[in-house]
Amino acid sequence: MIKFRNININYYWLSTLSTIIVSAVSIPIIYLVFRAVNAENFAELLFRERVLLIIIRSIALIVFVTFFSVVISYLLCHFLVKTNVPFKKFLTVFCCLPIVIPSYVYGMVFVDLLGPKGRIHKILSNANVTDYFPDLYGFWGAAIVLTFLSYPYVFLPLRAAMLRLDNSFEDASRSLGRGRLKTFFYISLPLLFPAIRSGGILVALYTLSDFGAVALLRYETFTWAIMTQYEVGFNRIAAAILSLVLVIIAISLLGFDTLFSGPKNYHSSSSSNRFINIDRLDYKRWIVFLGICIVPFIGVIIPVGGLLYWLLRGLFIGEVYSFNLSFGTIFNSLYVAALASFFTLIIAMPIAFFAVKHKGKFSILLEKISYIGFGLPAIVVALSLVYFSINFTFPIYQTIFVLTFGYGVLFLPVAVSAIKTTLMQVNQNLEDASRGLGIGYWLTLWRITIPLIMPSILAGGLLVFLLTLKELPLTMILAPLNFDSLALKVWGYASEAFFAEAALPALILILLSGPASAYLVLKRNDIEKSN
Amino acid sequence: MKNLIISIAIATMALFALACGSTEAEVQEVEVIKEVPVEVVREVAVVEERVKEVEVEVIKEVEVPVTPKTLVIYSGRSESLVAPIIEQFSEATGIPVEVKYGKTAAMAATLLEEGDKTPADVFFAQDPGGLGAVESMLATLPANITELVPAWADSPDRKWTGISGRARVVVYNTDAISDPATQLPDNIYDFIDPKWKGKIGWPPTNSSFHAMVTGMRQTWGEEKTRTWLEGIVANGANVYAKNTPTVEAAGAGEIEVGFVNHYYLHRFIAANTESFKARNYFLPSGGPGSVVLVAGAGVLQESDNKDGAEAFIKFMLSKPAQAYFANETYEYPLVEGVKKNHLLPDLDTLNLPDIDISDLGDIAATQKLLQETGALP
Repeated sequence: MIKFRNININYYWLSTLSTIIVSAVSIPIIYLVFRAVNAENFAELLFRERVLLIIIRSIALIVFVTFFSVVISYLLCHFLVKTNVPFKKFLTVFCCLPIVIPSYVYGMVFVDLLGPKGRIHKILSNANVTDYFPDLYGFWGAAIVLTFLSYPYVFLPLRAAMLRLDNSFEDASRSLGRGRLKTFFYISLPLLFPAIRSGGILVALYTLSDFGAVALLRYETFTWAIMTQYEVGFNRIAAAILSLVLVIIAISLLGFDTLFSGPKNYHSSSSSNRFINIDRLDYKRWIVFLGICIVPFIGVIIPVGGLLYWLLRGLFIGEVYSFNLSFGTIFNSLYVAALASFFTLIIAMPIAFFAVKHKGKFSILLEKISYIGFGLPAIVVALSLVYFSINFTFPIYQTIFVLTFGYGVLFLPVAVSAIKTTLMQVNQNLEDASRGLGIGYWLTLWRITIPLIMPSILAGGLLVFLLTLKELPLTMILAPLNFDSLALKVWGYASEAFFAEAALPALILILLSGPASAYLVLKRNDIEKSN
Repeated sequence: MKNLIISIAIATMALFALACGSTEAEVQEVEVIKEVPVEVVREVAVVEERVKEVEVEVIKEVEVPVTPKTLVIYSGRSESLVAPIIEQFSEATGIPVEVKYGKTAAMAATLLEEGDKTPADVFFAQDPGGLGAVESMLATLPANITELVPAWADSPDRKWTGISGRARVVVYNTDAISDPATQLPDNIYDFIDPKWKGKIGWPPTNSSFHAMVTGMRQTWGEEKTRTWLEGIVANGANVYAKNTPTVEAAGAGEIEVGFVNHYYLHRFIAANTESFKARNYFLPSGGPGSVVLVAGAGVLQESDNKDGAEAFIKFMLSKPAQAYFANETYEYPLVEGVKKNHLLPDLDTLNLPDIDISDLGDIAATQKLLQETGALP
């Protein structure tokens, strides 16, 4: 009886806390509705052939990017986890790095190098190799850039899941005569599906909200249309109406996602086989090595190479205007990123715990709503917080608090999904045992559950850290006066065509992110081994 | 007992003798040092102290303007271009500044969200469109500021003033076009000729481009502008996100001509050397294709530091600041007596169309036209 009552009290606490957090991060949606209901030409703006076309274009891009992110991530994980490919750790870290490259930076470099008559084309045609070069503007360019920048959202959870995967299921399937392919579809895929799902939805929402890459690669998506309303018409109302459509698309994506609820219980038993069968490849492992290298080559080497080229060209050939970069700028970037990841983790935990420990319609609804911010253009989130904070929390307007909160609204789902996927796999028996020994609910959480999922909490925090480091539109609007960060510097120079000057802060940004992502991969691995 | 008395007496005498001896010695030293001028010096020192007191009072009077109110500037112009001149303003006037840099559109949207609670004193925008969007929030500028620039370069009701000018040009690839005077039309309208199919690039979301189209609507009328837009769209114009990639594409030969602002080219040349394969063509027949636009600034109505804000705008229109824009950002100075960059043609030779820049803020109809002709979604 007592236990029963406790659960109710815990449910009450968690649900209240989650509801408060989700309401707070829903400010952008409330703002959009508020702006849109004041519109007169609602229907005129919305029901146009062009709008439908752009919706279709956005969805096509989302489907493509999400699908290929999953395929690429699966192949990478498979070879990096289950074969003896050389330089495994190095490759794994390398494969995570694209996540730190800002899409507006990649877009610029991509056009410079790979655009029609770009540098690569010129080199090829000057060397008489070929005069033909594919036109990478439009769908294909945007799809390639976004796929190679966002696949790590799937790669990270999928790799973790694969390392944790209970091999006994696959072994049993194989020994019972099912082939490799069938085992993959009937056993491995369903077991890995939660990880794929949690990463996939982030990729889809990211693709929906990205502006930098689609603008530079000239593929008109819905976010592009919204930004056009701001930039051309200075029309907040029209932008709000279109953004509401974006919210509906995001909700549909999230609803679509819930259709695929995987197996209910897939945590492993304590006596499970954690030993991973490594495929011992002979010389082929070098072929695999080269194959894997292609992915980070496109995702990291091309943009970093392009930036280095800009920097060196500016230093040795052209004239460098002024670098004007201080340690204060770098410190600012790191400081807000750390603050944002800490804050986001704190608000993510109740939502993740509520969604997993009290799985039900209400908790799932709250969790899904918390995802919407990630699918909105950052400028919409930023303006909604300007409106809200100047009117209701004026003393903290244009302070680091509102900025941090804004990052929280944007990146909450990244932290929630990182925590949630692992939390689902925590063996309930361990918690039950603790409770059975008379340890309270919260103490069990503190002593058993949180330490068990600590690696995922850290991973989620680091992801938010990396995303904050490169975030631009929200920083621009919500930052305190005189605030300076690396991302702002990159934009400030690049928008005025000071390429060498933009390259330096961009490279520092990527360099700073490197150790964090290395930690993301390697540390996690160590903790799993010690478990 | 006698012994004691004797010894005390001797000791007393000895002490007395010592005391006498020492006084004698001191007297001797004083005689050496004692010089009349010492006293005179002291008197002079007193006089000096009095003088100092007066000086301190003077310094205090100066200190008042040294700690004036902080001026809050929202700048839609990027930090790389205007930070040095804003710093100079702060040093010259002693007014501390706090700046927020961002895109002009994002800053305008922020101002509109903030409404009358805005902390901003000045809005320094990239284009008249951004200023027009927040015009209802701007205070009227004193006439002694707006009269510094030509009448075409500010808003007629003195809500904002132009700070620097930028001309619309056709940027062309030098490989494809070796002799622009004969190979390029002298009017932007003629680019709808099908022979330009696949060779044109433009940034249709860019606000300067937008101002140019508004200028077309004013000089050509709606119908001709519509025909032009449809013609360029039919010619398969390449769409770029903004001016920079358009100029870049012209340099790479991706397009033969692009419709842009004049000053980006000079930065590409600075970064790539003279080998950068694009140059500007100032259309000789004038018309909206060669309209001169401005970056400008206005003071917020709700500003509690209007003096500082006006001082800022005055400074931006001062000769050193105007020379800065001419030499460092390759823009046209708007104040008389400041030389333009030697790389640019004279504004007088540009055959400017008769367009009032402040009317170029009327973008709603332009946006509608762009949407109807398919130039914008």
